[in-house]
Amino acid sequence: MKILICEDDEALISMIRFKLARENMGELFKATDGREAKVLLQENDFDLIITDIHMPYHSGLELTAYVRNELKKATPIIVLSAEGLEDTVLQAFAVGANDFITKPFSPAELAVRVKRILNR
Amino acid sequence: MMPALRDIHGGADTTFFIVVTLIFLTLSVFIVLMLFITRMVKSSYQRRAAVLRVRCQKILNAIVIHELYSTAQQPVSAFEYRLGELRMLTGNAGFARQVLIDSIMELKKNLSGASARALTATYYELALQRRSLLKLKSFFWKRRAQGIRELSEMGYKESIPEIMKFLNAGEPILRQESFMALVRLEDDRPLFFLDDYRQDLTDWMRINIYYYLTRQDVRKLPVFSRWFNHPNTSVVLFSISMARQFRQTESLPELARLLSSPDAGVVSVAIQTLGELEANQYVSNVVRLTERVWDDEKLSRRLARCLGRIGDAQEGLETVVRFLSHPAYSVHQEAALALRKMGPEGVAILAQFNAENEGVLTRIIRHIEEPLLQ
Repeated sequence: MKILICEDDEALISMIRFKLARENMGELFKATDGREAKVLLQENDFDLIITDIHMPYHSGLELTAYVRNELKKATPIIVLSAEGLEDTVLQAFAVGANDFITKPFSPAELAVRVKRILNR
Repeated sequence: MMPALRDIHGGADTTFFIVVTLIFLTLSVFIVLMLFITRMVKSSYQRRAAVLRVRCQKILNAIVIHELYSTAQQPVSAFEYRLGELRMLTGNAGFARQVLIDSIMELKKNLSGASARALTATYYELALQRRSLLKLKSFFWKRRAQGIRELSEMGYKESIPEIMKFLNAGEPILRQESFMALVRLEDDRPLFFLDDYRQDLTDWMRINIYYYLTRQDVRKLPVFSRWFNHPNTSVVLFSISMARQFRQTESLPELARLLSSPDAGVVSVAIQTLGELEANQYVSNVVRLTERVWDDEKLSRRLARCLGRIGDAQEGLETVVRFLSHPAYSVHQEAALALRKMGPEGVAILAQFNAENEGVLTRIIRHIEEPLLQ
């Protein structure tokens, strides 16, 4: 399993990686901005993408749209955001996200959601 | 025998010039050296902080992921073990403890539930609140603000009296930090400190309070009419807008009284709120304001809009029709829209008025009937 984590907060990346590694979720990749994420997405096939909405260069929503519309991939995408506004959630699902988690969140909850998506 | 400087270069002026140049060069070298040393110290500090942050982060991850603070399956000793690691890592060094506080804060802002509680417990077990409290006594306002932020993030309620001292501070950022800290810390008596608040409530503060309140249990929110007669106008305006946002209809009688306020801003927000809360029972109070607001374009617009929401054919309609002859174009537009909202009778009167006045409102009517603008 290859999981890409796109998040500009290094502390959060470290925590998510730690948690997913503990749960033996496979190989974990990180991108700290939208541009880096795009390059990784072009070069690799991931089983899951976890992305924040607010990132430098390209937002998580742009990234989701890029995966669906340009790369034409059905890779599951979990969107993380501090904005739990209805519009943002709907927009995320509209561009092709599979799940949405509002920050602050519980790492245990994230792990459960990741497992559920990967086991589908 | 060595020749004197002035013998070589000839003249006192040249000597003076050479001495000044030498002093200038020495000073320049000294300044460059100081800058270099400062930079070296700063980079060394940053490097040490980065290394320490990574090490703290690893231990904090372990604390967070195990979520061991409240579960029976996990021995408490595991948590104690991690605490011991952090104690060894940071010792009593202020620098290291600050890096640890920053790491905890950074991580906690994104986490909830048991993970966030584990981080808070780590903060208290290591007595880091003492360092945050010390900052409140600092000479620099930035450090005080940092201390306030840390204490509020960690929910240290014992610091409320200390933080309250900064509520009316001269430095606006410090004031805002203390204000927001009190909003967060006083969750059982939300916003009580507004009673004594004398400074201006900035837009930033209003947005933050509103954001905070939207995440609270509605039943715990205060009745905002409590501050409708506050001596600070910005508090009055804020509480009216909060009564509107949270649809506190129990505030309506107090709100109707505010229509006679001498402050035009208060009257304006009160009119808007009565309209948005659909307070039909106060339509006559609003109608009575017509003469007073006539010369004020913004107030006239708000009044027309409010009547569009709460008025009907019996009361309010006549006033709205009057606004169609207001000197300001924007008021005509608002009045036309209000008539349209009042139903078939309003629409008929609008059409009749337009016909009787040589189609003066034709463009407005076309505009408000545009489906894309609905």
